[in-house]
Amino acid sequence: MLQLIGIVLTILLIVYWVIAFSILYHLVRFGVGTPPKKIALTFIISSLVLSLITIFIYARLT
Amino acid sequence: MIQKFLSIFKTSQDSFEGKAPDERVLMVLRRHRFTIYTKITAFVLALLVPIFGYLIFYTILKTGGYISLFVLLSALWYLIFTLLIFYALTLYTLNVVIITDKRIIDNNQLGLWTRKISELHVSRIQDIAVETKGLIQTTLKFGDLAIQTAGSEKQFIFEDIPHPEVAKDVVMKLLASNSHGVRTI
Repeated sequence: MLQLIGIVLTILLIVYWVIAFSILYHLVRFGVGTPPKKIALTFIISSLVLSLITIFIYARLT
Repeated sequence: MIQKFLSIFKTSQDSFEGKAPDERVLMVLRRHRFTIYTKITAFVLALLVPIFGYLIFYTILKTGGYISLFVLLSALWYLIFTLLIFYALTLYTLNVVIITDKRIIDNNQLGLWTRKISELHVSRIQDIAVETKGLIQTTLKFGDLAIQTAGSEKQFIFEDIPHPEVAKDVVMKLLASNSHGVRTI
């Protein structure tokens, strides 16, 4: 059961980061002015924090 | 080096893809913030669902020993909705209207991989109109800027622009300087 949760979690995190990098790429490449850069920085920090929290919670579960 | 890195968050040259070296950016317009606040409100309310779920089903989760699993699912819930919020913010931020001293560029980000870029040269502008509809637009001072052109695309409409009369004045001055050959901006 926990192994299955682990596999699902890994797949979800991979999909999440693929989409996250797409968003970051668009903000940095096509953004005009400072707002896109601020949003990109906020997004990457919050994504990292949330991903680490999720992995930590799963580790505690096992 | 750190100061140089931090400076990109304070100042920007408003550069964009295809900008000519001698081209000056006069205004960068995005839709009024009210339009994005209404979109992300639903996502933000969804972030409260795990909290209410925990409060309502606490007894069942505690007796069944499912609290850790519930916390994990909540973390995934927050991850997904953070992605959705920033996706909406990305589309909002990338939808810009750039007014330079030579042209007006409408960059429409329709999806992550779908963009429509329309360009309007100043010499083709024939008529400009500003429209503010309803109580919310009047109170928050935003509206539509419509530009009539001589090109194949007859009308450019820039929706939900904050202070559209200011943008209209900038375009009018641009037109005047273009026709007289004297820079007034």
